[in-house]
Amino acid sequence: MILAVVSGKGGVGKSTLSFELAAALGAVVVDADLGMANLPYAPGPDLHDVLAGRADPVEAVRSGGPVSILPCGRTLAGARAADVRLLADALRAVEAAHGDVVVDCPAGMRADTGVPLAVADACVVVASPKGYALADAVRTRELARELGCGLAAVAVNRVVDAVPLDAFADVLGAPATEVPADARLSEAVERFEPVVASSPESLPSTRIRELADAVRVSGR
Amino acid sequence: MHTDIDVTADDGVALVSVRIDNDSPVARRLRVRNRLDGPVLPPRRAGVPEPGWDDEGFDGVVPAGSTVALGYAVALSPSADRDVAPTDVDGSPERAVDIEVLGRADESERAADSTPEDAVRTLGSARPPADAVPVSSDPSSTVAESGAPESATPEPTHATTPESGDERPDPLSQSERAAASDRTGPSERPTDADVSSALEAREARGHETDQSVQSASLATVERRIELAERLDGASVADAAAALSEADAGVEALDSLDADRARLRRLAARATALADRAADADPDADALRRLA
Repeated sequence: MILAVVSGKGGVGKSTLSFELAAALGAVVVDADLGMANLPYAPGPDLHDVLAGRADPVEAVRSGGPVSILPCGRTLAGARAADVRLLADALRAVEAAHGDVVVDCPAGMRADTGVPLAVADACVVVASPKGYALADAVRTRELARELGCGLAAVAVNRVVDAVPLDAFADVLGAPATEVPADARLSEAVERFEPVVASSPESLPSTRIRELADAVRVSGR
Repeated sequence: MHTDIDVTADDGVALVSVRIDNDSPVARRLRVRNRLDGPVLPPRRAGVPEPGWDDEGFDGVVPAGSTVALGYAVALSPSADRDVAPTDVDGSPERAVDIEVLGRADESERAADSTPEDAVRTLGSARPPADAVPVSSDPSSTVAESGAPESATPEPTHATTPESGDERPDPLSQSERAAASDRTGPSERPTDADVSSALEAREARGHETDQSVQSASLATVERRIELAERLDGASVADAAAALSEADAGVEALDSLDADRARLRRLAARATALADRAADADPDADALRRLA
């Protein structure tokens, strides 16, 4: 399946959760934030090249590490040259070759978020544990619904104090999981070591596996 | 079903408008096919053709008791005689379009799945603007030409691209696409892609270069016109004197017709812009107070 990880606002931890979810699902993570990519980069063909028709999507996937990744270039010129419409075929090609795909989407509601949603089988909405987060999550779910993408789960990320998870689940109509704020999570992407692999018994790891289970259930 | 077709042609481009009234109590599906000699340039949103348009024309539904208005452009074949083509299409606009009613529209025909094209069309492109893209790879030509707006931008990009050193220099696909459209040669018709890449390339070059090109060529045109004025009705001796003083020869006069057409277009555009400038009159003082 192709899973889109989305949020209304930026900075809520989409990239971290995409990385961890990909590790938990054994999927390829695609860094689709064309203008503001932040998953690790590796020299060689990247998503900018793929979307400009200069590289094969399957060959641009780096496997062998703890998580297989299709990195995204960092240049504005690359972001401008990329035709986001080609993302549909690229994601399907990666899915055919490698199995499940987790797409780390950009924040906001422009076409670079919409195209992954139009292609994906399901999405996970990431929200911060703030007062406005529920309204953001509702708007993002509406966009996903408009583009024919079902909501698999809601992740309330970086939770410190108790959050009304039931309200999230009721309003959004999907299982809600809280992921605690944890230094290991914030370092995971930088070190390229997912918490689900490096600290499998930890609370963050348990919660991410819960999310992954909810995604698997929705995919059936 | 009543249809009304109108065609205007100017400068190698025909603008076709079609109005279709469906007076029947059921929705009808129809097919509009272009019959002019050239590729269809459909209406676009965010660079993506509107739903129902393809290379041939439009395929869609007119709701019961309702009207649909369509419009598209055709880049007329350069081989066709431009003076003849417009009068031809003006005289019989119904020959420009072929409208075929395919019968009653089926409700279930609507595709439920949304496509990437739908997403781009409804949400708008998220590409960074051309002016934000640095052109550092070729400093000799581009920076010298385009001046301030672009030379001011490289700094923030370097800050956000620590790995950019190992990527190939990327003056992006615009230049590639422009080169590709150059390769097709002048004898071929411009395709939809050529037109959009040409527009994009022009956008990337910026308006300043446009202006400088225009003012430079205006001076050249002025010299040609002065020469033509001196030669008009002049005696042999005067003409010889004028030609020996001028840096251009008699062959420069060949382009007078083209000059006249270009100047008229420029004047029309300038007048239209001046009218718009006169109409748009925001309350600057109020805005300043707001800021």
